[in-house]
Amino acid sequence: MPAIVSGSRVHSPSTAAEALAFLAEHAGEGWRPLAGGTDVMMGLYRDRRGGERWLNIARLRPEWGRIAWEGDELRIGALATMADLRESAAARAAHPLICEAASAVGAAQIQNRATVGGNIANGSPAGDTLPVWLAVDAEIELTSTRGARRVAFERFMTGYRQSVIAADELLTSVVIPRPLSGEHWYLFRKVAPRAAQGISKVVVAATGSIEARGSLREDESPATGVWRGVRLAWGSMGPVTKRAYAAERSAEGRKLALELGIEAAAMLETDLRPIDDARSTAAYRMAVARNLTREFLSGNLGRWWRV
Amino acid sequence: MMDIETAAVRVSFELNGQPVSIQSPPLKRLLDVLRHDLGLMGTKNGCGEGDCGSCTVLIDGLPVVSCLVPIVQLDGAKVRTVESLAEPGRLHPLQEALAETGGAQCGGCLSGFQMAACGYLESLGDAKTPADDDTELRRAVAGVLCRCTGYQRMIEAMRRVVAGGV
Ligand SMILES: Cc1cc2nc3c(=O)[nH]c(=O)nc-3n(C[C@H](O)[C@H](O)[C@H](O)COP(=O)(O)OP(=O)(O)OC[C@H]3O[C@@H](n4cnc5c(N)ncnc54)[C@H](O)[C@@H]3O)c2cc1C
Ligand code: FES
Ligand code: FES
Repeated sequence: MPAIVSGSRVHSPSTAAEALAFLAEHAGEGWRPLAGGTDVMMGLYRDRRGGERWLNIARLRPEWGRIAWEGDELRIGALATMADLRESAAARAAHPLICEAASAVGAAQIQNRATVGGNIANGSPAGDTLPVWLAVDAEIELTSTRGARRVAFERFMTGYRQSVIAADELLTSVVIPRPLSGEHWYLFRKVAPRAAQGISKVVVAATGSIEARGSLREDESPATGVWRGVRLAWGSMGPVTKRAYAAERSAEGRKLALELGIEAAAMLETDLRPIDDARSTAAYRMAVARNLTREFLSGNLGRWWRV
Repeated sequence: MMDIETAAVRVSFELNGQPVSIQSPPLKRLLDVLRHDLGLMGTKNGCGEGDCGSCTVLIDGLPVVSCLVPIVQLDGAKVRTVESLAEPGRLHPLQEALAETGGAQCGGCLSGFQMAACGYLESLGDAKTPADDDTELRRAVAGVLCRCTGYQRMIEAMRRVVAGGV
């Protein structure tokens, strides 16, 4: 029998409190969370690793798998699956980007197992939900027996597959503020070898509100307004998911127009440093990102969403 | 609560309607438990990395790839494999449809395809109204790779089941 099969230890607490107490007591002994297992099992069997210690948190779904509004915040439990997110009306009300990203992860069989917490904690620069959390100003809730703390997603990842999560902490929720009312223009685009099961060469979650100039006539497109609070959040464009701040700033208060798109696209290099790797090249990635930026900010590529 | 120093765990679940209880290392893949411990060879091992879909089974009605499911997470679950579809002397309607359309060739992908398709078709319940343009049908089986059929005849088989009821 391969070592992984015979030599691994798994602890399966049945309550959240038990899981946290166990982690606190055994911090430093190498216990790591096992959620949907899609990343963990793939890695274990591919690399034939064994003898590791896994804290199976799958049974905590009743406590940590809910998606619900609490006042002005949407709370997505870490154990919610991509299928849960894809179908969630509550999540769609926080931003349709969330549901679109969830439906782009793997295929149905993966979406039924893959969790939100696993996608984030796995920390791949190509993780498809990660740019969305940046684009919607999400906070990550981390919990231990010491209590719960919140970290803006922007500060959660500290480097390639590195995050601020401590050894005794579990990622318990993603918290998202209620969106501003009004018109929004947004885009989720994953560029991969094929639609299902592909790992992103480039992935973007982009959104912004469009401030109308005065009240719109019936026949007038909301696109006659100006950009406010644009977010251009990218995956696979560097060691961590990142916003293109300079390009975002250049759009503020401007109309949706091709000149703006071209100008902003030229600024991506200020914030993004893609690399050559097995999946794509830096040049291809940058070219695709520029095109997406140009088309999005000029109003050619994206969708309307009214809150 | 499970003793953390015990490498093997007891797991009880329902398999194709029958209760099963086994003793197993916790991270053994459901795929291997089905094929090696329980002798159900219908579920196929393709890539072993979640990509090809040939090992698809239903857990609590949802299609999942059994090569990525550790057996420890199966306690109390209801599992269905391709062996649950046909009854003695009678094919499942999807199997009939596949035979009619020529949507079955070498068979390597077929167990997985059938389980992915059935999971979706059953989820439609009485409201059998997938989008007209096959988008939903295609999306439901996009996680199954088939090297033979070119997919069109498989989708046609699904369409026939939708029209006739499963
Ligand atoms: C065939 C295939 C296709 C895929 N396609 C995509 C894709 O298109 N897009 C994409 O983004 N990903 C994809 N993935 C990767 C994977 O499915 C996702 O990253 C998934 O969301 C991981 O969730 P999980 O619950 O399965 O995590 P697990 O495998 O259980 O865990 C992943 C990591 O996160 C840690 N972890 C899990 N939960 C927590 C928690 N609550 N707190 C702290 N740490 C935690 C684990 O210790 C581990 O390091 C794919 C994987 C496969 C096998
Ligand atoms: S063997 Fe499981 S997906 Fe290929
Ligand atoms: S029938 Fe041969 S792989 Fe699908």
